[in-house]
Amino acid sequence: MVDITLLVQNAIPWILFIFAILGAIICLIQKDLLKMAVLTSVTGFVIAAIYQLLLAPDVALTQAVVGAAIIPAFVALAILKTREPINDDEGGS
Amino acid sequence: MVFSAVQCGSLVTSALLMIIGLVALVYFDNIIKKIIGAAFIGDGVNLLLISLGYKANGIPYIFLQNMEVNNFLGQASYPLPFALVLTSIVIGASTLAVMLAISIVLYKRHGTLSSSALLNDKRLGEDNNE
Repeated sequence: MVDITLLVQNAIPWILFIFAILGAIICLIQKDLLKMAVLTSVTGFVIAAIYQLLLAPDVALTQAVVGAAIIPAFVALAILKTREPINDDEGGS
Repeated sequence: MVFSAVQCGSLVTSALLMIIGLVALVYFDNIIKKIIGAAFIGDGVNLLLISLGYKANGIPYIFLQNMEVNNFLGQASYPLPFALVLTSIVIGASTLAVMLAISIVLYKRHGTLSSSALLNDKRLGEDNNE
């Protein structure tokens, strides 16, 4: 009889590795740049979970905040600033 | 040095992340996609360093009460690369912010983010501040 709990425990790191690589590929092949900015957080958060599995809880906390929230926010802000055509009389935005 | 299975998997994952980032840096045209590729290279390097400090069947390097010192030293993971990576994550985020700010300035001066169009722009090497 196969112990299902042990099987799931052994499978969790490999599922996370596959999700990290697939998240990176799917993020980079998007045509829409805002979808790309949101999908950047998938790789960041899955890498944070991998850090937790590799016995580094403090690095996992930092990566979860930076990779899943701050970097997509920065990228989305940059995309929204460069999406509109330039109007010379409206400086700023 | 003998690697465990999870360690080998994370090493392969970090190598694939670096390869994906390099492909994005070389072959993609949009500058923001190039910047995301550089961020993925940084993630791959961080994962490489973290996986070198892993110890199979170990515990995190936090010394709690009711722990024997010799058991802790035998089981805890190696904490030096973790302390370095903790700094490297924050530095990577700030350099990404600087790269995005420079791309915004490029868009305001040239009206495009395509790198081939920017390289063909005659005004790129000149000083036109007016």
